[in-house]
Amino acid sequence: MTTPICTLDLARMRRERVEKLRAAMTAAGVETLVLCNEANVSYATGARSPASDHLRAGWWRAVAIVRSDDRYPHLYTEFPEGSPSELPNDHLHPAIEVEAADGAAELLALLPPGKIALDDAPFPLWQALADREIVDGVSVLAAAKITKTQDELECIRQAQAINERAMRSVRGAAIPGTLATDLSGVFLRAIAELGATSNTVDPVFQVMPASIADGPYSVTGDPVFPLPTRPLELETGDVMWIDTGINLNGYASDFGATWIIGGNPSEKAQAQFAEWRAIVDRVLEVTKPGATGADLVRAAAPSGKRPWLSYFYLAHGIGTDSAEMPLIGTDRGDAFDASIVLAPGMVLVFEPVVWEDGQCGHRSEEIVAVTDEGYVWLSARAELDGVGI
Amino acid sequence: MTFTEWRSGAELDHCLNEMQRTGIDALILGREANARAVSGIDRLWLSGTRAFAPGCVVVRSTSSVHLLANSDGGFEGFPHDHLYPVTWNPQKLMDSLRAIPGLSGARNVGVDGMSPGVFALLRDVLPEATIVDANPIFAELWRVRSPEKIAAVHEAARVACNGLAAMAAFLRDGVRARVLRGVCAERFASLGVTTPAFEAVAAPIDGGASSWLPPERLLGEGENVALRAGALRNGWEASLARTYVVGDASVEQPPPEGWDEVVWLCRPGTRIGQLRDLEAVVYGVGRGVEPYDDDLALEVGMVFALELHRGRRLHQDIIHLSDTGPIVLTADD
Repeated sequence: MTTPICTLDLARMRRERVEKLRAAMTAAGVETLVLCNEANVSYATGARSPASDHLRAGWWRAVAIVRSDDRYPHLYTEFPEGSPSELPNDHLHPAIEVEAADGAAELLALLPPGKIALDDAPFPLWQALADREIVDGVSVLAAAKITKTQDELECIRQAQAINERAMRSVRGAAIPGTLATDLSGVFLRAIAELGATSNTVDPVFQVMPASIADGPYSVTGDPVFPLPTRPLELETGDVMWIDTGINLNGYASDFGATWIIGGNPSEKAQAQFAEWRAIVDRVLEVTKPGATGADLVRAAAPSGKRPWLSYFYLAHGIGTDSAEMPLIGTDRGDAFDASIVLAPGMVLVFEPVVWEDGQCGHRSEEIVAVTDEGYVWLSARAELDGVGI
Repeated sequence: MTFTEWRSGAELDHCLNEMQRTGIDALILGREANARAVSGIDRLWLSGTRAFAPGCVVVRSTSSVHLLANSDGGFEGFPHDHLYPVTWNPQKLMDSLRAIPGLSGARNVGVDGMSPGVFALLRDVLPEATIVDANPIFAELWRVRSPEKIAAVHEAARVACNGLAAMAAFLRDGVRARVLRGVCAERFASLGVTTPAFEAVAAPIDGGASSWLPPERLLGEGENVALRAGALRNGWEASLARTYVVGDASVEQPPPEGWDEVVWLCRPGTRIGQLRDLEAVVYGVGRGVEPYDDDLALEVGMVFALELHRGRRLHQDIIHLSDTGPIVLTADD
């Protein structure tokens, strides 16, 4: 179990986020920020839309306009009941369909003169903005989002706790003869009962091969993960990698574990977990303000051989997006890692992978937040075959 | 296996024909439904909008689709040289795009979204190309009427109906709306479907709030509650909505007044605007929501969602307009 970071105050969280965002805008010389991506609108406004497949989500999308001189964002939404109560009436507006040219023109007419920072746009909106000076809004957001307030950390911790509790129900069902998709059913039912706002990713319950050559085909030469869950029957001795994520109050969780189906983990599986544990423990030893991403990479890979999937990372941040900055150990290279300097409020999801080709491997995930002195846990500690203590 | 051997089908053929007709040489797509349509495959489902990124490329000169994926797991046989890997390095992504035969020489490139960051990168890969809107191509694609589409939506409809029935059986005094959401997802999964068109909804119809974001409170005896279930099965969606009155055994309500009139109007030649004049919500379904314009006329073979909400009753079905008239694909049987 993790310890609460603070008594959650969602209104305070929203107020502090907008203050950070406006400060980031000022620092970037941006007076107007237009947000169309659901997770970014959620960050700026606290607005909620129904969870859906992405085309529907596109037509349902809320749009936010943030001004550096206004303490409240303007929110345009089809779901006013999903907006926070403190948003003044003159900042809460009917939806604008920016997926279509008419809506895009309508939004354009609302924008003040000058430079516009934009995160992402349906193409009709992009076309409507063709004559305006447009700059990258994602980097402006990233500057605000990369460190979390206490309330944000508590949201992530609570989201993760729901994810972990649901996994305890799923673990009991993960026995030989069960279909992998039935585990998805147990999980999705459990998170709804435990109070999750929504599910964010098709739950992954993937039986791994002993060798990469056993397939599925790998473009990168590394183990392939994650793949969509199929209704395959679980068998004794299967090594299953799990990856699930839920949303609570706009914040993502990220659960990763390795389960051995229908029996006690072999000595090999235990040794792989012990190695995984040692990697994360070495990284945690250097996790504190001032350390760089490169320091974490060196701690995880003292010999230079990187124990994680080459197409992912040693660690990623999490917030209103399930993977956001800081990204450490990616294929962007050493200089990029060295440019990341840990600061209090940054969140790190560690996901090393121990792989011994021919004997499968171990993958789990653990989450911490950087504090003034070191770090604090936002997830339970990983266990082999378990769901955290 | 070559790409042409692997992938054949009305959707891709129609897409390539539309590209030819409109002079578009290549498509760079970020929307999963568009990628599903042209490639015929499903990648890992994520909820909600996603930032535009080059996740799928169609090249007209080679009649080929290229996908951002680390494996053909789940769609084995897809030609390996048409896959390019996940990367966090923009330069590597651009190198992957440059390596796609025929893309660099494209003069007109259609996209289904854009961001300042990706625009800068695409300018680098395609300095001479004109970037145009790919959405009209997909609007045409959604109008393709094929037996495969009808059958696939019908299969998704069966799953959606099952999920709604499970919710209805669980609907009673004191239940929480979100618990029913989980009941629906669990039923879907028991049928091998772990992805929704939208997360199931049980929402009181109180004339005020929408029927999509339910309150956290308990549902009570005698309340009219709208149940909505939508499944995404093998990349095809279907959904339905019904109204129940909460009780020991909750009772399904007939459709609202005017429903029969709206269904009767679902005939070849009826304009979508005529249905909307009667307060109906209408949109095409298939790879996802397929928006219809007001002036679009119904044709035999179209598959669409039809919804009517009047007073305390809400009803939604998936309709297939057959040559003998409208057929409800979300019927109980």
